Amino acid sequence: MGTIYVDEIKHQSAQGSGTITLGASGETINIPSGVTLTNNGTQTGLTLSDNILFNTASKGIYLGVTTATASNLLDDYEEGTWTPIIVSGFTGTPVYSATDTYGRYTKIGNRVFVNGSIKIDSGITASGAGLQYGGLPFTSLNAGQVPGGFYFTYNLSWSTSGTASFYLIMNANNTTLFVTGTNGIGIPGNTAGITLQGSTINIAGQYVV
Amino acid sequence: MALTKTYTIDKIEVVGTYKHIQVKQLLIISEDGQEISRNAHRYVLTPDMDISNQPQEVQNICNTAWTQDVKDAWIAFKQQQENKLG
Repeated sequence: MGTIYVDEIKHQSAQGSGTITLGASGETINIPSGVTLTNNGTQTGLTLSDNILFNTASKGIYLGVTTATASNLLDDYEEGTWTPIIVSGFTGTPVYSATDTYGRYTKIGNRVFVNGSIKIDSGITASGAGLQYGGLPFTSLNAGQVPGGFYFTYNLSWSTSGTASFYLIMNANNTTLFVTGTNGIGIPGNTAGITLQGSTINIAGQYVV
Repeated sequence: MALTKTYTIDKIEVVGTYKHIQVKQLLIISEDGQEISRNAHRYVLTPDMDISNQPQEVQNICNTAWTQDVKDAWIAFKQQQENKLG
């Protein structure tokens, strides 16, 4: 069939509440590039009755602008799980608590928000190597800047006479968090006062990828 | 009503200077063949890791991306970080 030229298509009831069906399931309604959809009525906005699903990955929505601007494009959102681990600061093979070791993440654009809990039940001996937590779900930004911020809490002794506070530092190109003291120096796993095995560590933070 | 769990690899990405391999797994739960939930789980492999337990498609990409130069560079980078923070 050819082209139909019309000015208006309205529901046959002409009372403004009918449903007009375009196409059928599996068919494609093609709106050519450059076409503008407008709303001439008094009610602003567009109401959809279901989710939007693009037929190509990595497509998104430009928010807050009237021209395509890369920094305004929201083209990635994801929720999921990750598994925190202790990477360094011990010898042996850690046996993680199945109930107290878990992680969740939400990725919005280029920023990843994470939280997690980790507990080693048995299998390790603390060593002089610097403590590192890992298993993060995405590699951090490839740039020479600290890509995010984190904090952690613990339910058993993590107090040492020489270190008032602990910090988690994440470098570029990493999925690992380094535990450091206020002086920026790494904390060895066998530091007196730190309970590595049996302690539940809760981590939360965000970083750029 | 039979529930089934299926793990699939949804996405494998090679990321950054040191060719980290980002893996996105999907856990799909179906009831009588009808999908009722889908959850993502992610992990990252670095060039110093043992990949022998990984799915073959992941191993293949690791083996392609992780040249000896990449592995050496990653080890050197890790050592540099540990020296700085240790």
